[in-house]
Amino acid sequence: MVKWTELERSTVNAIWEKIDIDEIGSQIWARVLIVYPWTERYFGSFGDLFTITAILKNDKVAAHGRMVLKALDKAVNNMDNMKRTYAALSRLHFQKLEVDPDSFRLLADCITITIACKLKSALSPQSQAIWQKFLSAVVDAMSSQYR
Amino acid sequence: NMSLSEKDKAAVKALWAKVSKSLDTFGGEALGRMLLVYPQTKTYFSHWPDLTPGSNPVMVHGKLILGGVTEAVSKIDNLRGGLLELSELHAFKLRVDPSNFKILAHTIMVVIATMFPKDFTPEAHVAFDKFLAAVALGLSEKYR
Repeated sequence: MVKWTELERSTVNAIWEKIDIDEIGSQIWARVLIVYPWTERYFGSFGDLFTITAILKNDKVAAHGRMVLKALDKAVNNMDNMKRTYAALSRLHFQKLEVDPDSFRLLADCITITIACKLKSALSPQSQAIWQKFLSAVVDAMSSQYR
Repeated sequence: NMSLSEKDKAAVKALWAKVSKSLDTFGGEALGRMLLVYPQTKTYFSHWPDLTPGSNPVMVHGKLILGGVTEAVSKIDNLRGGLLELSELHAFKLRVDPSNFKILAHTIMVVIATMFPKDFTPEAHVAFDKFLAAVALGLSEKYR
């Protein structure tokens, strides 16, 4: 189980408070599909993902991004119980959605970069270190039922 | 190997032209973040007195590394051939595990995002990610 200091908890919360899920969710998901196009394999039902413009305008991409960030909110609020919080979601991604867990790492990197665009220098080196530690724990929790 | 299109190369050059204006601080920022966010990278720098962001060794070395990236941008049409000397340095002298190139690439992109958020669009991001991956391949050329 990951141990969190008070500084780490407050840093993660301070970053999360600045994130508008509606604004950022769609940006993050578009970035994942554009930067790592092979992730489109999971989204055959999303319609036109053939060009960057199409991805940026796609409503289903935006909605999915918002949904994923809402799920990330659960991790922010359950930092001491991430594995348990995400057990069902992890099983879903493995057994039903058949998502390569390496995708979670790609998503984590896009989340960090999108937040870096939004917060700019307010994402200090120390904050980035703590935020990425948090996302690593999320990725571990999401990968935990792949067995 | 995912090769760079003409569009990718143009995007990389345009982005780097902007970044180059801040090279004095940019390199140190990227290196400092890397050492903090990925503590395992400190194992290559135990001979430095200070590894904290903003310290002199970090700023000096960061500038050096980013100079290497600038050189790579200028050789973007032939990264494999153009980076042979740097590859030999990393392979035989520094012996840096190539997995670290990906780590530094990510940190460089986070710094670009914080400093040039409007320019680091998804299009610029994918082109730059491809470019840094190609640089990593070029640097790994002489390893074995």
